[in-house]
Amino acid sequence: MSPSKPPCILVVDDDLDMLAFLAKMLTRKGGYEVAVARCAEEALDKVQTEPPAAILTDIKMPGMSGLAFLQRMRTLDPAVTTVLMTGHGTIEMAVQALKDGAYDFVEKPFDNERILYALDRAVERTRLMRENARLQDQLSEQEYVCGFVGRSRRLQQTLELLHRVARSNVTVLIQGESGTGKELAAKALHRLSQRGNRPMITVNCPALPEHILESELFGYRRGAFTGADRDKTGLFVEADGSTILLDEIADIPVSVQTKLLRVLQEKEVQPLGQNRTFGVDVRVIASTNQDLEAKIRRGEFREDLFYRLKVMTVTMPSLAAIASDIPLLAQHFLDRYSCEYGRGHLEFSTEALQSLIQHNWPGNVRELQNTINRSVLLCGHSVIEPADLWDEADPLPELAATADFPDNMAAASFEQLSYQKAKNTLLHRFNAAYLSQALRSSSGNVTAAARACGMERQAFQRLLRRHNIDSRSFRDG
Amino acid sequence: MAEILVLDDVLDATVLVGKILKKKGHVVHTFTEEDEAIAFVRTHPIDLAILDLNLKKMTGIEVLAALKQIRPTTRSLILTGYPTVETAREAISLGVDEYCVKPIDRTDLEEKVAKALASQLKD
Repeated sequence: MSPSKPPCILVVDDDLDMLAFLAKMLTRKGGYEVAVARCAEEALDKVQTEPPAAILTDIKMPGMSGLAFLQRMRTLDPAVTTVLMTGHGTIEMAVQALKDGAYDFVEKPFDNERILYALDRAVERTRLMRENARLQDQLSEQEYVCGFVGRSRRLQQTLELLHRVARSNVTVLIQGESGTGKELAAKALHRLSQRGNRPMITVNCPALPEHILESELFGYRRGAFTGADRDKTGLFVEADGSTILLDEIADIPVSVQTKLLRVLQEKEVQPLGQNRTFGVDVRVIASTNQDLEAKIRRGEFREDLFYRLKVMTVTMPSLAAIASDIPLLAQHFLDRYSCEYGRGHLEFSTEALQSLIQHNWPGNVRELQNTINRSVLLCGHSVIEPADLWDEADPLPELAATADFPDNMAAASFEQLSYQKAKNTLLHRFNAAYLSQALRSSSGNVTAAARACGMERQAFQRLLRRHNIDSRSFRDG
Repeated sequence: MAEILVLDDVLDATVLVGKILKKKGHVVHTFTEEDEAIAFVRTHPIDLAILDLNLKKMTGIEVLAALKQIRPTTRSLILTGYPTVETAREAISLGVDEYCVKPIDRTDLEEKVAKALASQLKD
């Protein structure tokens, strides 16, 4: 809301004289801009096109009543503050309206001061509500830009470094074990820079064979080699004005390294078969999980390129270094996947959380993420226990051998199914396999099987019924 | 069973309300003096206060504010013969559960008391 434009009040009343009077009074005495509507339905339309700072509405109107309108508004845009007025109000009505979230309630006939006072405060409330919402958005936006979850000092230091480096144009080398979020860091660097509104180009270096990598990066002229039937723009040219991420740079062949060095030094590219060079304005971010210095000693990586790249180095912490963030990260992934799979409320048992913290995570955050993802998919109850997390401690690997286990029903059998059907099918098969296995181990003894699965007998039996499993068929003899 | 305070400047009114609620198994403390009621609440946590509006020295709204200050979770009911939108608005902004108009019939009162006490359990 710009200060020059007065806040807008939407007045709703079926009495035309009243509307005219209020519009005049609020404009002259209150300095407001006024929009009017003759019924709640019309008001709802107007609200959609131009949200007012406050609403002043009559209660008794043909069609939708003021109280129903208030309820609709509360769900439509809770920030908009509503003041109700009535000529034939009862106390019960006023009490109900105020309980339903009306900000104020004025009785006709009213004096102008009273209405203006009520609306001044209402407008102020709307302003504060909107301001609050905007700041909240900004906060979550910031979190989103970085995409990192965690409060540990080590992570915060890394994030701070990313923030500081982002605004400059220097080449950044991101180091870190696999699964520590190197690509996420690169994205954050890009988003936080002035280049952030253009798309970042990501090149997964080891995924491309040597000659293709070269032509992809630098482009070629038609006829540069057999099969080059038209000009191709290289990724560096495409990334002009933006950022290019060279993922896993340690794996690029030495010949390409030489060309890359030239781009970094001269800020220009020369497509294959082209005599001319093109100037490009590209910020280079490189990432690696390997020890580049060791590679230099073995002659597999050019030392001069290394120094060009490591103008600024950001080292992503391993999960072991930020172990205090494990509960937060685990919760984050749990929320995310239970929402994604529509699982409702799920939580970790204390033991499960403990075992997550104690676990050794060679695959770092990505491994943690995958572990949580799997446990959300497979966990049949609302509390995730240690057994739901680990393959090893669980009879699940044995189950994998049986024909029914999820692994071998991946893409092929699910492609044609809707999400809900696929999920139900998978859950059903999992339950059938898991429960049968448990009953086999206990020779059909339900109580023992339930105990082994860490469940109550009643819950176990409910599952058996749901999946049509007869415990008697597992009894010996 | 709950501890309920009833405050009204008319003694008969407190007795009547007290009778109805005692039959429901509640412990009822009746007052006609507002300062005595407030002093009582300071030393004796109650579950619900039923307040008249027009008292001797203070208004029911002022008593309500005082009670909420002593113990914000106390449930409350206004029971008045002179209802106005103004006092309803003030009472609701102070967090009153119900704003009732005298005369109130027995079942209505019982219902509103039960509802207010039930919402106390939710907190």
